[in-house]
Amino acid sequence: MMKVFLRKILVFFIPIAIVWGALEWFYRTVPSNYTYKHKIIKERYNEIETLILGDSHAFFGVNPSYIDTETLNLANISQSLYMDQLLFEKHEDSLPNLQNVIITVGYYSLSKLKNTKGEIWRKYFYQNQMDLEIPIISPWDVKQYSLALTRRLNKSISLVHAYLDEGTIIGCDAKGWGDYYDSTNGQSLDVESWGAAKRHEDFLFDFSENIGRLQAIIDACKKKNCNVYIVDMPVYHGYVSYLNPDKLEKVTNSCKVLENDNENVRYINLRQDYRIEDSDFYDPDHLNHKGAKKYTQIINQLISTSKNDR
Amino acid sequence: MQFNTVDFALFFPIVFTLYWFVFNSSIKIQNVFLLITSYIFYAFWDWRFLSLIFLSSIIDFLVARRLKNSIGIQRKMLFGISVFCNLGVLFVFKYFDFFLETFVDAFLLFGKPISYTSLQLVLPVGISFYTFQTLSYTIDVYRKRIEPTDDVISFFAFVSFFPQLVAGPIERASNLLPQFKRRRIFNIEKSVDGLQLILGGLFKKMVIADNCALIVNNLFENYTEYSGSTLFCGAIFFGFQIYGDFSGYSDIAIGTARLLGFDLMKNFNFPYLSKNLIEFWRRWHISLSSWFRDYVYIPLGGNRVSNIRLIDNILIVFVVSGLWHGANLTFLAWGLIHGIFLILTIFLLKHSRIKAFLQTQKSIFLDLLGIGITFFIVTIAWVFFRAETITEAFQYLQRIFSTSLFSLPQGNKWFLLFLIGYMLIEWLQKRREHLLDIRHIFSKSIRYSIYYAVVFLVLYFGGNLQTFIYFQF
Repeated sequence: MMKVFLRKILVFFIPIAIVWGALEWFYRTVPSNYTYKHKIIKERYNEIETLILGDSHAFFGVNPSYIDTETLNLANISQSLYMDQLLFEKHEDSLPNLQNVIITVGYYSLSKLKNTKGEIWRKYFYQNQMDLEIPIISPWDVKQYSLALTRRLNKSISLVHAYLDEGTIIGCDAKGWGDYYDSTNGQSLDVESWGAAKRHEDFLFDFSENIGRLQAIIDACKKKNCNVYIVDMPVYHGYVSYLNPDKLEKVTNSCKVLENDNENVRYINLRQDYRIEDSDFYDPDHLNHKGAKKYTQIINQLISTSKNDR
Repeated sequence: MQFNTVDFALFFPIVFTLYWFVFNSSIKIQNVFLLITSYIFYAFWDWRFLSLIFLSSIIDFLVARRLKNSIGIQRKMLFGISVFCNLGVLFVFKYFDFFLETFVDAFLLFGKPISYTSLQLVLPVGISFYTFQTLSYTIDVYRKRIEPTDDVISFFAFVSFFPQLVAGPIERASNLLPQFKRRRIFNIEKSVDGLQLILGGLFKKMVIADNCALIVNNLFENYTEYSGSTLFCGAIFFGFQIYGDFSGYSDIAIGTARLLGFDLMKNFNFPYLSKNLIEFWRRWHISLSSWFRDYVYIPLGGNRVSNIRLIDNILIVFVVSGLWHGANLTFLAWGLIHGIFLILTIFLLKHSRIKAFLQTQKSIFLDLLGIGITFFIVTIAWVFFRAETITEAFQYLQRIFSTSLFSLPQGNKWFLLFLIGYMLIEWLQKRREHLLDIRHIFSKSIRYSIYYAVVFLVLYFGGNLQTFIYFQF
């Protein structure tokens, strides 16, 4: 009786196992932003002078093509300062010509806890596809052995669709810049602002861990005689109006303290820059191609000025 | 370790294989294996709290054995020790801070501030469930309804049995304990039924509850921004979230136990199809409501008392039941609302004309009307269950019952339609054992198509992992 039962179960699970195997094969063989960025940083170790870290604000908003020095954008969507630090520590010794590190900091970057929603599945991709050792992944966590198990099936199917339609799921150019936020997402910035602000609200005010991570990157940069630019990227005014002003002020002050305490740090606050236009945005907190060009040029100029000042 | 995780999907097949193929030589070995497995299962959350389960088990095991041969005051003292220890631990971990804060707030009302330090203890997962389960054993032994067991392994395994350890069903010793002493024989029909329950439970949890949770969290966090109709839908979504979450968990627990050869009691029986509140409480969280019936309501006199005492008894049971769910005034209010409406229902149905009318006039329209009214009351009460504070609950309700209640609700209409479709399936299945009880469908290909469709829905729409709500109780 048990044999019949087990046989039935096995037969039932065969199609499911085939789907799982196919998705696993897809994730293991099809290049993604993670594998691609890992590949290009290794290929360009000796060239890179400026390294960009951060989340989607940096990924879509800072285009290395408009920076005078040899630049690589190593930012990614929902990349936390925790991952930024791990990535930096992994590669810093292999970057002999590194002069600048640009890190974007937004409303929630400093309060973000490790292993929150953003890392639920991404941490496994950092581990498997960027060869990072991630302390928050327990040795007992079985998901690290199967990328197909880390994402929801609907997301995996969408990715497979995208791959079949476009032939790639890499969403960045040869310098790591996220190039698919070309104009706008078609929604009203005012309407979207409230939702985006609510999504980014974590009600946390303890910045100590992330400030510690930033300080660790700054200290490592100091030893390499390298400058750190902490950039608060432009966001739509409607979005800012829904954020907690006390927390925003705390973000600004914390970054200023880092700037004042460290010679090699410059804080560039573009959050509500006077040159912002509505047409610069893809959505309330992300720049589009036009905005990325405009603000990368501004950042580039500030970096050059800052160099001349020192 | 949660049932809806990859960890459990790996853990259980290993347990199943070892249980039936390696440790099957004797019941004793199987029980030892189940005990170790259950402790490992619990340790995945927090191994430190295993000591509480161990303490609760050892106290009740020893007390019950001594109760067997004791009489008079000694018997009462032994019983008191068990109740004091079990409820004491529960009180310290769950209620101490709540009562302290309420006490301090009460003094503050009279202008007398008191300085205090709260314990801020982490609530051990499932403490209310296993405390009630082990307590029922001592009470039954004390009342001489069951004989105390001499088998320490069986008893410890009964208290910590992993399928129902953290969120029930709250089993009675008279049902579950003897099953640890009987030889378990693998039964294919039971096992298929168990798998159906697990699949149906995963559907309820991962497709219904977890997707409702996303909408509900947003609506309850930002209720000032939405119209009355949207917030009313939010309350409905929460009703489905908690139903999917808890009944889904129970189904998986019962199914898992069935695969190991155990029969756990039914915990939910299509509660949203109840035609009145009395029926609702016979179908919702059956293991808890029957616990309160047997160990609180009936000892208070049950319904064979005067009307005033009856009202008192019902209110006491529902206030305690509310507080069982959590140390917060919101749960107390939730219990009170149910208590009050249940009293009204009882007296309404006692009325001779209404009684006669309902007995003679049977129609689907009346059934649907009853279901609708019951669902409405339950939905409104859920607002208190979900809100963080009483004030928030009232403000939420105030916004619901504004003129904007008659506007078109914002967003999520498709999901609402999906839930209506789900209720239709429940309606069709209401005389069956559970949601996926499709043994009556003769065609194998149709049965398998249904299974695969449910698996697809679980995998496709699931994955937005949310902790089971009832773990916090």
